[in-house]
Amino acid sequence: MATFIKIASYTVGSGGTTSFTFSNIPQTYTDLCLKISDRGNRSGVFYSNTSIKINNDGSLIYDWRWLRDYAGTVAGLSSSNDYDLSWYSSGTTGTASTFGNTEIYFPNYTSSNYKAITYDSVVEQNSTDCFILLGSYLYRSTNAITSLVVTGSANNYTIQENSTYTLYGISKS
Amino acid sequence: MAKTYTPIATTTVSGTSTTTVTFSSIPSTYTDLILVSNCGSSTASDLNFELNSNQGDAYSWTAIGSNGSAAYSARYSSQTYSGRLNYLGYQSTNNYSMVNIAHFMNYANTTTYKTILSRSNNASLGTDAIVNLYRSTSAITQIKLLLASNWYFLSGSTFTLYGIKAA
Repeated sequence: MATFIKIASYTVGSGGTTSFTFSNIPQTYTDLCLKISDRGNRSGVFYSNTSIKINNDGSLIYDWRWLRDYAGTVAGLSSSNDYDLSWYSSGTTGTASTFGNTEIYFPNYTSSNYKAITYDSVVEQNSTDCFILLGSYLYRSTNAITSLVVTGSANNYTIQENSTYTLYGISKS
Repeated sequence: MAKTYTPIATTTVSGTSTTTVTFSSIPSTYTDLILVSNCGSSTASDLNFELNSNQGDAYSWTAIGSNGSAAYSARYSSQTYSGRLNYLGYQSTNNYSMVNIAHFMNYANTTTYKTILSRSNNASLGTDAIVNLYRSTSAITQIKLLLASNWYFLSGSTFTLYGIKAA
């Protein structure tokens, strides 16, 4: 069976959006991979925030640990009992026409185990400010992943025009 | 169009006696290999790998990562027995919470040493990136995954090997 198949793609149109959903995700693949190029409208900073609520679940069952390089300063961060999976996108004071890039991998998304998730994310631009994130998440739910609700974080930042999100299915057979 | 991410083999562990997972007779017809592991172990352990049954000092690796409160780096040369896919015991008893994606670059060539890029994650322990060098010019035909001290993989752990073609 062919694999790394595009399930759906979303390109943000004129005026932007604060939210959209990948719904009715087929349960026929082994893993999912979401590839992202995005920019938000958080004011006054070079970055914005975007997040996903799996199955539109905003309960406090997301745990994470990050390795983050912020403008040359490396740190470890973590949280337990968070309410979504989040990353940085490019923001309003960032270099024009630059977009953050993120790849999120969801193995065994249909299983009845908790869902371990990995992602790599960058905001790179022509200044000293930048982000690199290596992220590790655990979504503590035994439900299969059937939808991904993408939002401009809890602050409802507007995801800017020409941001793109493509969801792929990967099959082991 | 070239096929990509073609499944080569997959294993799902059952029971409580699986201490190693081996992919043998790996075809040399791809350009790169991707190994996706979603697993846990009976006791917190790193996920190690042995290539072509080579237990000599052919492995070296460098890691950067975070335990969630501090960043770290590590560097080891001339390691015997195995290379390393994660650093701080990320594979734990915490219900398949370990995800590792490893890229075996240009694995079939018989001219150069082999580089393996690895990303590991456990949301209760940390996240890291590791580069391994396997100092052998032989094509990689076998990948054996193993834990420390013969601990076993939890039932339900999954391992899938994919091939990627450049053309």
